[in-house]
Amino acid sequence: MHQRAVWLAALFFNRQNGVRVTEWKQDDSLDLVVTLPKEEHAPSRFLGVVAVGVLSIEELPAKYNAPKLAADFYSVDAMPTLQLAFTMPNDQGFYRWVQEPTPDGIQAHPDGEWEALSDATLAPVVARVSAWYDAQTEQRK
Amino acid sequence: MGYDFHITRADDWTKSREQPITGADWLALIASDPELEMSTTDFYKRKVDDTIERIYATYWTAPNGEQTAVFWLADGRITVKYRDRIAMKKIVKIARKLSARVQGDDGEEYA
Repeated sequence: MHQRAVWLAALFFNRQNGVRVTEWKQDDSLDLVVTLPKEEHAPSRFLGVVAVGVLSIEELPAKYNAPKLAADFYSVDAMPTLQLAFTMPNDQGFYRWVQEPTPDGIQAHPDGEWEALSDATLAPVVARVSAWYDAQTEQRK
Repeated sequence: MGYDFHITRADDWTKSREQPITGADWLALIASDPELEMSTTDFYKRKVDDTIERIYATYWTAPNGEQTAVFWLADGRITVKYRDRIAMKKIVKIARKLSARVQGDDGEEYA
């Protein structure tokens, strides 16, 4: 069920313009790494994704349990990270921030609200991450 | 073969899985450092249990463009081959950012 959720998450991100999607199997801290476009010599722009498969909407997890391996998951230098959930019988998708990019840095949301996932709802999310990295780049100048 | 350095959070780099540097940690650091770039096309594969893992290369290029090094995150540690003293400084700097230490193959520490 988990692997199917990862594939569905990859499918959604692959439909977004200009991003590269990499399945992350090196440890349990992430399932996908979405790499956003950037200018040459600028720092990389990553969006971390963790995915979960459930049997029904009622089973959507209330709390995000950081994987055991990722003891320092909610660190100051964390990157924007989304959790995506899919109901297995009908592939209905949901998303929520677990590490949200804000003007003040990354804000952790261990129990964020689920939002409906679609290509249309994901596009502004990706754009927001890109804008956040733009702001980070400006701050460094 | 060459001589490897290991960035690890463990007292002994051979036990890095017990106090791992995670992918999330490593990628967050890469995203904050314009001198580092992870390749999504340069990797080696290995089989762990029933899973095929891809270990991606992360390249460091010094601002002068002359020094380079390749970092590999696997088994909770980051491994890099010794190149020169300038690269060594970068390795130590990365370790500090990750709240980790640098050890050589024989366990000696570098700070």
